[in-house]
Formats: sequence, structure tokens, C-alpha cells
Amino acid sequence: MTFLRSFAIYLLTLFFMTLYWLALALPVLFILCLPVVRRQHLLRVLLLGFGLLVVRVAWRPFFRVDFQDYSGGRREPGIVIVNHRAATDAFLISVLGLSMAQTVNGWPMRLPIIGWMAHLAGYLDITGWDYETLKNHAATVLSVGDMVASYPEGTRSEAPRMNPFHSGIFQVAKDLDIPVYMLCIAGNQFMPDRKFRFREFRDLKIHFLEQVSREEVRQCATAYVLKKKIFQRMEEELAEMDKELNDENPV
Amino acid sequence: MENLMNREEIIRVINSIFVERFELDESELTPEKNIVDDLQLDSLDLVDMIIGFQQKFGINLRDNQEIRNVRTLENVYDLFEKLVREHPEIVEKMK
Repeated sequence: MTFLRSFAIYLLTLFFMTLYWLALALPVLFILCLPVVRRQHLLRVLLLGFGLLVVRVAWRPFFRVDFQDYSGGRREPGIVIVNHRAATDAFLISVLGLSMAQTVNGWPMRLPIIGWMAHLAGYLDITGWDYETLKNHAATVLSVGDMVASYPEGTRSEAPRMNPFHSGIFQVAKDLDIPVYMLCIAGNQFMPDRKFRFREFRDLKIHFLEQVSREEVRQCATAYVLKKKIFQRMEEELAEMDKELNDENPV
Repeated sequence: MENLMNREEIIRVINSIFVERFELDESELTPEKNIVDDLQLDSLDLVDMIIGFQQKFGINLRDNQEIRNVRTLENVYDLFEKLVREHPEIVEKMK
């Protein structure tokens, strides 16, 4: 059953990926001729469109996503901190409707088509770059009004609890004097698991929380204090979301 | 010799750095605590920790190999006890 379930969703995702990027082949070729910063921004917009297509259309027969925005509409360029239970997170964050550069390990950018697009769109190589390079690339992303999305756990947790956060991206927020946002994704810990098998399909919840303003970021003595504050807030929210999911839809 | 800081004073000063810079609760700061595993400091936080030590004790730890090998708070207390013994001027600078 796990194999059939996984096969079906991957097949449909592949179908929509082919359809989407074939339809946009000419615009992409045109965009590739533009200056780097403009090119990266426009490709991020196209990747956002692709993410929405996958989450809202391709995956609709398998599960639904309930998105709630508690941010009060604040959208100044900043860093979006996302908890990381499964590989689907990279697509699920598109429900925010914001063009973003995600921080990724090197390997996803070697995946055919989508990985190449991410690379060309200026996604940030969190493990391959030194701190200064990461900070400078983040500043470039923010300068065109886009967000940086980051998974400070570093790897997928495949569990309701979060792994400890790394401090690097919080230091970037402090150094660049920018706000931080929190995006909590609950329910997808086995969608897919670490071996990329969809062990279950269940509806998901995504909550976009109140902004941590640049003043609040400044007030944190160190990146450690900022990451601790954000970890605690997200941990509380995720516990609540998991409880709601289990009440609505017992496993 | 009576001007040297005793171990209790060193522990108090070190702990105050952790409280100020990382907003950790005093009760969390017990000698056996591992800085990385228990207090969740990563490499970047360790740099912040060393900067805190440098500012408080007025010494340069950039080339100090022992500070790179500390694992627990106990190791940190031991190291600074040794540093204060070897460099009594540290205490003068702190006054």
C-alpha cells in the first residue's frame, strides 16, 4: 500500500512538473537572458507558481492543506523560519504566496529541472557556503522584496518534536537587521518519511505566526536568544496544531 | 595570592556571562552540563561565548587551544581557574 500510495503521488507530481515547465519553457529561456538579480527574482516567482500548482492541484486528491495566517498582513522582507518534518515542506511553504529563496543543502539543487531551477533562482546553499557568502546572498534576495525561507533544524525530523535549531540564520537576521517570521507545518511527518515513502495521507495544517519585528530581533542579545525565543513559540504552536489534527482525524 | 579569585567567584562570573548573553536560567547552569548537548550552543554560539569571556576577563582567547576543547561548564571553570592562576593581572583588569 505504501508503494502504491507513493507511486501515485510521485507520478502525478512528475506529470504536473513536466506540464508546468514545458508550458513555461519560452518565458524561462527569456528570463535566463536577464541580469542575475532580476533573473533570480522571476524564477522564484515561477517556482512559487509551481509550488502552488503541486500543493493545491496535484496533491489535492491525496490530502488537503488548511492554511491560517496570524501575521496581521505584515510582509516586510525578512527570514521565514520553517519547521522541517518532511521533504514536502519545500512545496508546502508556497501556500504563503510569497516568492522566496529557500536555504537548502547542496544535493536538492542537483535534482533535474526543479533543482536546477532552484539553483538558477538563487536558493541559498546553507552547507556549502561560509557565513559571509550566505549573508550577502540573503541580502541580495531581500533587496528585491523576496523572503528567505530557512529550516534551522538542518534536517528533517520525521516526528512531531523539532530538532534543535542552528544559530546561523538567526545571526543573519541580526546582522541584516530584518524581521523574522514563523511558519509551522503539522501533520506531514510521514509524508514522505526519510526514505521518501508516503506512509500515510492525512490533512495538514499550516500556520503563519505573528512577526518578530526588527526591534525585537535587535533586543535579543545574541542569535542564541533569538533562536530560543522562536523555537519556544513554534514548539507551543505545533503542539496545539498536532493536538487539533489528532482530535479531528485520529491516526 | 589573596587577590586571586576563588573558584566560587569564577563560577559566578562565568555563569553571569551565560545568563546575560544566552538568557539561560541560573538553575540550568550546573557543572556537569554539556555546552553543546545540554545547553544547545552551536559553533556560532560558541564564538559568542568566547567573545563574552574575552570582554569580561579582558583577555584574548583567539589563540587559546584549551578553550576549543571545553565540553562542560566544569571544563570552563577549570580553565579559568588555571588562567587566573597563571595571569593574576586578569583579576586586576576585572576590578
